Amino acid sequence: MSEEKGTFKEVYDALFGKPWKMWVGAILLSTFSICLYIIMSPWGASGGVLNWGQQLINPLFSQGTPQSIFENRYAMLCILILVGSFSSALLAKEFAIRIPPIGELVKGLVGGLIMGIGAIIGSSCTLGGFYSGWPALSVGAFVFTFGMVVGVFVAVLYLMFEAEKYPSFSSGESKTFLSGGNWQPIAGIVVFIVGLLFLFLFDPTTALVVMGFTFFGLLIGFVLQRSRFCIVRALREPFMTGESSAAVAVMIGIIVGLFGFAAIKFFAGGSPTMFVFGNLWISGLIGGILFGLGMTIAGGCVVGSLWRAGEGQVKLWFSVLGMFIALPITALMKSDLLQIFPAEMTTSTMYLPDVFGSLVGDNPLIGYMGAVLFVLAIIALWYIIVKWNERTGKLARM
Amino acid sequence: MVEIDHTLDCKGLSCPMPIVKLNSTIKKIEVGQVLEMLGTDPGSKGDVPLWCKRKGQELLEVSEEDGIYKFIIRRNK
Repeated sequence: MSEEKGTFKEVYDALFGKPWKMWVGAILLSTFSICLYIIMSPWGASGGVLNWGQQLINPLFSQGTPQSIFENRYAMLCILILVGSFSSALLAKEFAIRIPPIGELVKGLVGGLIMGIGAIIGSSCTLGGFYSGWPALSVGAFVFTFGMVVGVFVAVLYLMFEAEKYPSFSSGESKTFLSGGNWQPIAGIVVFIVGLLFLFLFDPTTALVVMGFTFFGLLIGFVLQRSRFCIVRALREPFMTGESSAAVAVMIGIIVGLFGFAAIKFFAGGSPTMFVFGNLWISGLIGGILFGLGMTIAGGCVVGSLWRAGEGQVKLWFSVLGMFIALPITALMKSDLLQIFPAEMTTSTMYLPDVFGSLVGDNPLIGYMGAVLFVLAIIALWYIIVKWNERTGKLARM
Repeated sequence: MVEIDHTLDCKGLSCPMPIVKLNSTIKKIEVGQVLEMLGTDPGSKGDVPLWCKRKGQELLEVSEEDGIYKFIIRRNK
């Protein structure tokens, strides 16, 4: 009996005793993303929170009824990310309602609002415009990512300025409720089971896709919290502490996704346009800059805010609220906002295999080989830069 | 028992603010002095030791009680 108890404790400690390595999370998340793509389409997030917000905003602006949350696969995915993260944080006894000083709540809300605007302008978030977008071989994703890097750098400078000159903004009264407690792991199991019960909301003969997204949402939320998977961190740390492990984890995840997505698109007849959004060039760039700024100020991108909201970080509740408001409102105004630019500068798409294929008489095999090698080369260059920076601290502002 | 010279309260703050504030506060104390940092972000459990290692500061003690993490850090340089 005691031996069984010892084995159980060993398994519990391995899963919940300390955070998983972020690269382990990245491999699992990319695998889940490939599963989602097999079901219908890769891992995304901003579309889900957009659908949540549309439930409130669209009727307010007489825009008709949006698609039901229970019919929108990304809306369900995002709900279950919250549930999965909540369950995982409880199981690890890491859940607590953490209310930060008021300045931090303001930053959460403002960051969320800016992110929401950026996501709509650039038709992407850290997933569609980066983590899923690069493997989808979209040129627009590279433009959006470049914009995000600019936004992240500016926001890091702001955060450091604020801490130096106005430390009181992030100081003051904070409150923490429900932390610790041996009740948490049991509650975590209950929440996970409730998450699984969501699957029974759907009729498998008519709603198998939404059911699949609901299931993988639960797993994704769980893995995000355990591995503290954070794309903001991957882009931010080289400019802050110079530390590179998060960047390397994201690189590993993108490489897994790259081979999976390319195989689906080339060998399995997947649509080339999947996750290749019409955001070239100015809209992707401006959207990326805004999104990078917002997510760094908020301390989480769309999924990063969702999983931290699930572990009880109230600042990120405000970030989700900001996106909930800004995503649907900006979506109503997008075409008017972008009218100041010529359409070909805001809505064009470009698919990397077409670019490389056209160099050799539209040969699709060469096109895909060139595109995959191009993405791998960009990742290699990124790796060299972050490792050089980790050694020398040339880009690190701390 | 180490004598604490300064306390930095990061309770309620989420990543990256604890590290941003730690980095800024450590510069304001004398070399050799000891800073106590309190936080509630589970991410700090990994972030603070990593930051100390990279910055060459000495992490004397890490503890956790009722969901509050306490880090005792000596400024080495």
